[in-house]
Amino acid sequence: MGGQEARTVAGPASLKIVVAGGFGAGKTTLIGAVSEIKPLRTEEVLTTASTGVDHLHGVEAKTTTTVSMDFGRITFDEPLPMVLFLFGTPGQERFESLWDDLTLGALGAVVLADTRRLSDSFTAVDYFESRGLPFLIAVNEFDGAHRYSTTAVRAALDLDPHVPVMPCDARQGQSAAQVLIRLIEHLQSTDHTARTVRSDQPTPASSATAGVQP
Amino acid sequence: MRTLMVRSALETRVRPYGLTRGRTAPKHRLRPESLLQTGAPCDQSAPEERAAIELCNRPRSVAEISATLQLPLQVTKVIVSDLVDRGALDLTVPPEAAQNSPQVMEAVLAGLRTKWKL
Repeated sequence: MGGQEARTVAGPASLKIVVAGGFGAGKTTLIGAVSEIKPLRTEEVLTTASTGVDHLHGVEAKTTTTVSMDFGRITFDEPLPMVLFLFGTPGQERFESLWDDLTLGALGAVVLADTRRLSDSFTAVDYFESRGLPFLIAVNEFDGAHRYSTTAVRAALDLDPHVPVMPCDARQGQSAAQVLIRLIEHLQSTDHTARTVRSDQPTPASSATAGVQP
Repeated sequence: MRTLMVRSALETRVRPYGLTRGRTAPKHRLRPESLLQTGAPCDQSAPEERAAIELCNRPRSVAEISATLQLPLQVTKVIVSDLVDRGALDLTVPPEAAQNSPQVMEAVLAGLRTKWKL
């Protein structure tokens, strides 16, 4: 099968934003609030070396873990044909290969924080900082949740001064859309925008070798 | 429903990588958000392949195909990559204006503001 070229057709631009946060922070709620489709769930089976005791010499024990990710979609016809996907990161644990697959080529990320469990946001903040992916913190204000000032959240998460922190209600479409707008504005104000030209989406000029792995 | 046929195959515990004949790496570089569209007619295809082809009568992402067919992402990538090789699915190319990042940013902002009246 080697040597075939991928046939390409004109289509909308495909963009994505990653939504991260601890378990129960409201990622799927936020995605569902702005998505034109009910959030879909996709799964990935990860194989990890077992940390338990190996009973068989020379046989590496492996365990598989199935993790699921919810995602939504927003289609735009104007001003450009575009599809914006919102991918929720799986759970709280950081599965590197999967997070890399989800975040590579992303415009940026939203870290949804639950002030009752702020420390759950550390994993996501560390990851995006390490990858240089621009992000903001959206503090999901649940009914009855103790409300912290954005200054207190910033201090607790030890954020760089340029990282936006904003309150939101993940259940409300307008509020969730406002978070996405703030993220895009943040991207525009930083030097990170160069990354948004997707290196893995074929361009007309390079379609002869589009998408074929080296 | 073809999709249902795939589901029933999974319910009878077909190992997902059995569908890819054990291959775990797609030839084409695909991301969860890569968009595909139905290409040339394809005679020989397995149920999950037919379901993927049918789904892509409008541009669909690898993630949507994976979710609808209830197959793991990586398995879906291998199946989709094969279909691209066979011409049954085409990769989509974004409009030229969408390859310029400041313009894309402006477009996303405008799109969101219009949609949500913000």
